[in-house]
Order: sequence, then structure tokens, then C-alpha cells
Amino acid sequence: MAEVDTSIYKNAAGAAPMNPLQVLQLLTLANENKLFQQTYGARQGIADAYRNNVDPEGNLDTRGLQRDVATKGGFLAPEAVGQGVANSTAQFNQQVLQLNHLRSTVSSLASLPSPTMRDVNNWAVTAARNTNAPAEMIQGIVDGAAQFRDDPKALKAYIAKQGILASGTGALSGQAGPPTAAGTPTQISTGEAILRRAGVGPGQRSGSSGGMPPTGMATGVAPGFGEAAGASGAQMANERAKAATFGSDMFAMNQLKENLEKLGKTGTGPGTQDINNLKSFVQTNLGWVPGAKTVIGDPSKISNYDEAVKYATQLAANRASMFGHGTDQALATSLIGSPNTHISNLGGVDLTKAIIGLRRMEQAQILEADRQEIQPGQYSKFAARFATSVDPRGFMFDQYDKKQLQNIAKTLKTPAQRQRFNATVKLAIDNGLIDNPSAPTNAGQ
Amino acid sequence: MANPLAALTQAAPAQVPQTPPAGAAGILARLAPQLAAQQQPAPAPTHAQTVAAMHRFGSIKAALQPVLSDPNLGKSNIRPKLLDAASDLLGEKVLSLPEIMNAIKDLPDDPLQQKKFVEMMYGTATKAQIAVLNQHRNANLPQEDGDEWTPDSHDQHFAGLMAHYPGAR
Repeated sequence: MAEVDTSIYKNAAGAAPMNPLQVLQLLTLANENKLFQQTYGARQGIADAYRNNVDPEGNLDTRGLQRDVATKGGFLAPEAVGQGVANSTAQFNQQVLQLNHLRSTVSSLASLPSPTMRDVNNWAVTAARNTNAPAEMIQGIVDGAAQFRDDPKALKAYIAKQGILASGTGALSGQAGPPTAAGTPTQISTGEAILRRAGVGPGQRSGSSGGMPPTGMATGVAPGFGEAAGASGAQMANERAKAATFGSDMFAMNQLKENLEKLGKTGTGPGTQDINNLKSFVQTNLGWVPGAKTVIGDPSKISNYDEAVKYATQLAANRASMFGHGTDQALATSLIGSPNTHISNLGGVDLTKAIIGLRRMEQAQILEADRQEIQPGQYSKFAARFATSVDPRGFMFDQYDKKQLQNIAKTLKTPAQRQRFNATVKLAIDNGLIDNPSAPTNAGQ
Repeated sequence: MANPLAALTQAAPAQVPQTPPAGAAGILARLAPQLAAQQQPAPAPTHAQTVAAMHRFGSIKAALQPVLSDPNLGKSNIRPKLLDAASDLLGEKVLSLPEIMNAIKDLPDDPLQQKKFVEMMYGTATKAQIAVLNQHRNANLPQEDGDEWTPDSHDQHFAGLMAHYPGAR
């Protein structure tokens, strides 16, 4: 066995033995050194864990960090893992704030009439300069917008939707929306309001001149709308009330017409019942023409048939004129077969037919308004359009004899005129005002 | 003329090191040695120059989008479709003919390599946009009045942008 060289610690042998205090100090120093080494190793491990789990863009891989900290963080691992979670939570929250800020600012471009990619690019550069949001985040929004670079409306919708995304669940909260056609206030979601204000909401279309729908959203009605809607609503209510008596009106008028037809030209005159029917018609329908009572007189004073016809004629002529220019003449001319004839020139039977046609036209107007779900505030406008879109003669289609039908055919000279007449007949049939002449009957069964 | 798209990407200080696909290696790798050798100040593009870059690379990406979404990409030769995209860029005056010829001269014949080539081009354009945004931010230049990009001033601003990347000339 080789001799051990004790020269380097030769003095140790002669040294005085350590007292207990010195031993304790030595042990303390040794423990401190050990603790330092452990702390240093743990901190180094934690630093390594962070270094290995942060990508070049500075994003933290939370799961990887926790795994590495747990294995390399030594006795500091529990605190370090907790701190890592806190750091990643803070990072997540910061990213959410950044993304919301970017979405919110880019959505302000939706207030422009027609934003383009040029605006989006300008926004991106400004956002990059003035915020610390990652360029990748900004780039993501630019790329999303670029998908719609050739579709201005879709691009605007994309931009506006960024505002919705920035709102989070707040986009579901309600707020005042555009009023209905009747002026009734509505509630829509904040998200829909954002789109509507940008002009890209549901059903919003370009104007007649094309281009982008206008921005902004009216949440109230225009001045004077209430007054106009009130008058229009009253008109609709009045005509709806009259529509309820359509059956009884028609029964009386049809009876009158049949009786007059039976009498023929050589008849001695209609009976009391017929006079009463006509009288009743005048009385019931005086409401057609405001102020008619003053002009025509008191229908209760009608005492004979000629007087009743005079009343009914004036009333029908007035009503026809309310439907629009030409209605009176169109009806009368079709019955007589000579041009420039007016209701005032008609005899009893034809007058009754004209009145039946007018009454059906009136009924068709309110039925069609209901079918199209026209609101009371819009009824006046609808009624004005309706009168010019139908051919009043179509409502008497089943009242004409063969010669009268031939007369009408001669006057329908253009395809547009024929189309309008046919459409009116169809409208009358569809609303049950005229029996369908081509429908199968029970005859012969 | 070197590919300006690649130049921007390479010059970006915070760029992730990336090995381009073999087929397109020439585009990016060609500039690397000379750029590395130069100790130049970090590019400091102005607002308008940065918008010009966003516009240019955005247009390139938009032109490549139909090629990328082509179901035949990676299966058959997409050179004709890529040439269509290039002619669109030429028509929009986004790229010049020499730039286009330079960019697609390394297009491989193998469909799979072509797919990688197109994806690399698209990815490079995105990286270039991100790089120039970061460079603009880091430059922290004062915002100047009249520093506005317009389609008419694009060439002027893009030329100004490229002056920040002398290696690309």
C-alpha cells in the first residue's frame, strides 16, 4: 500500500480540537452552502424551463413550462409552477385585451361609406406602430379582410363583425332597432345594430343607384309619421269595417240587378224592395265619400226609384273617382261599349253592375293589404298604388255579357293592358270575389 | 434582380430561422450570405412605405389564394394556374415581368414540390408583412403629415421601402 503524503495537512494533526460552537458554525456554513447550491440549481432549472418554452414571438407554452418546471425546478417547483400559471394567465388576459382592442379599432372602419383594403392596411400599420399587439395578431385580421378584397359589401361586413367579436356576449344585449313600417319601436341585439349601422345588416340592400347601402340606423320615425300613420290607419280601419258587410252588400246589389234584368226595358218599374235595396246601398256607403251627405242629400228622403238611381249614380261616380283617374270611365265604357261614357250615363242594370265592380275592387284592396301584411301606417300609400295596378273592369268579369266582353277585348291593345286585366281577374278570383269560370261545376252530375 | 419578397423576410431582425424547401431555396438563400456580411442599421420603413409593403404582399397572397385552394395542387402540374396568378399581378402592376420571371424560374416540375413552392411563397409573403410591421414599430418614426400611400404613389413608396434593404438590389 502506498504511503499517504500527509505533508499538505501536517499542521492539522497538531491543531487544537474544535470546540462545539465552531463545529456548529461549520455545519451551518455547510448547510448554507448546500441550500445555495440547491437554490441555484432550482433557479437555473426554472430559467431553462422558461427558455425552452417561449417561442421566438414570446409566446409561452404553458403546459411545457409546467412540465419542465416540475422536473427541473427542484424544491422551488411548487412556487414556480404557480408563478408560471399566473404568468400565462396574465399573458392570456393581455392577448385578449390586445385582440379586442384591434378588433374594436378595425371595426371603426365600418363607419366609412365603402372601406377598402387600403383602409385596412393603413389601420394595420397604425396599429403596429401605436400598440404592442403582436404583428401576427394584426396580420391575422388583415388576412381575414383580404378574403373579401373584391367584394366591398362583404369586406365591410367582415370589418363590422370584428366589432361584434370585440363586444363578446355584450353583442347579445338588446337595444332600440329600426321601427316597423307601422312605426312600432323594435328591439334588436347590439350585434345586429352594429351591422345595421354599417349598412350591412339583415335585408339591407343598395339604393336604386347601386353601391353600398347607407350607414346609420334610424331608431325612431320621421317627423309627421305619426300624423300620417294616424290618417292612414283610420282609413284602413274604416275599410276593414266595411269589408265585414261585403256579403250583405253584394246580396242586395245582386238581387237588385236580377230584378232589374227581369223587368227588362219594357218593365213597369222596380218594386219597393228594389228601391229599398238601392236606398240601403246609398245609406250604407255614404261613408265612401266624406261630405257626400251634404252634396247628395239625405238618402232617407229617397221616395222613388229614379231618385234612388240618382243618389247611387253620384255615389258610385264619386267612389270611382277616389280609386283614381279613369276608373269611372273605364267601368262605364266597358258596359255601354261607347267611348267616354261615365257612370252618370248608365241605366239601372249597368249602374248596378258598376257598383258591384266598385264594391269588389274595394274589398280586394283591403284583402290584398292583409295578404301583403300592410301596416296601418302604410295603408294610404298602398291604396294609392293598388288603384293604379289593377284594371277596374276585371272585377266585373262575370257581370259582362258576350258583347260587353268583346268590347273589352277590343280595348286591350297592348300586352301590358291584357296582362293587367288578366291579373285583376285572377286577383278577384283568388280573393273569392268572382267564381272561377274554369272551375269544375256540379252541372250534369 | 433579386426577389424583394425574400429580401424583406431575410432582413427582418426578429425573423424565425427557416430553411426554405429545396425547390425554392434559391429565392431566399441567395441573399443570405450577402445580408449576413453587412452590418446595416435596422430597416425603418415609414407609414406609407409599410402600407406599400402590406399592399404588395397582400396582392401577391390574393393572387396565390386560388392556386392554393386548387384541389389539383400537389397532384398535377399547376404551372399554368400559377402563370395566370402572375399575369394578374402583372396586370395590377404589383410586380414587374422580371420580378415574376425571377420568382417562378425555380418552380419545380414535381407537383408535390410545386405545392411546397407555392405554400412557401405564400408563407414568405405573410412573414414579409409581419416583418415590415415589426420594423415599422421598432423604428418608432414620428408620424409625418402627407405620408400617405395611394395606388398612384405605390411605386414611389415601394422604391423607398426597398432602399432600406440594400442587399435586395
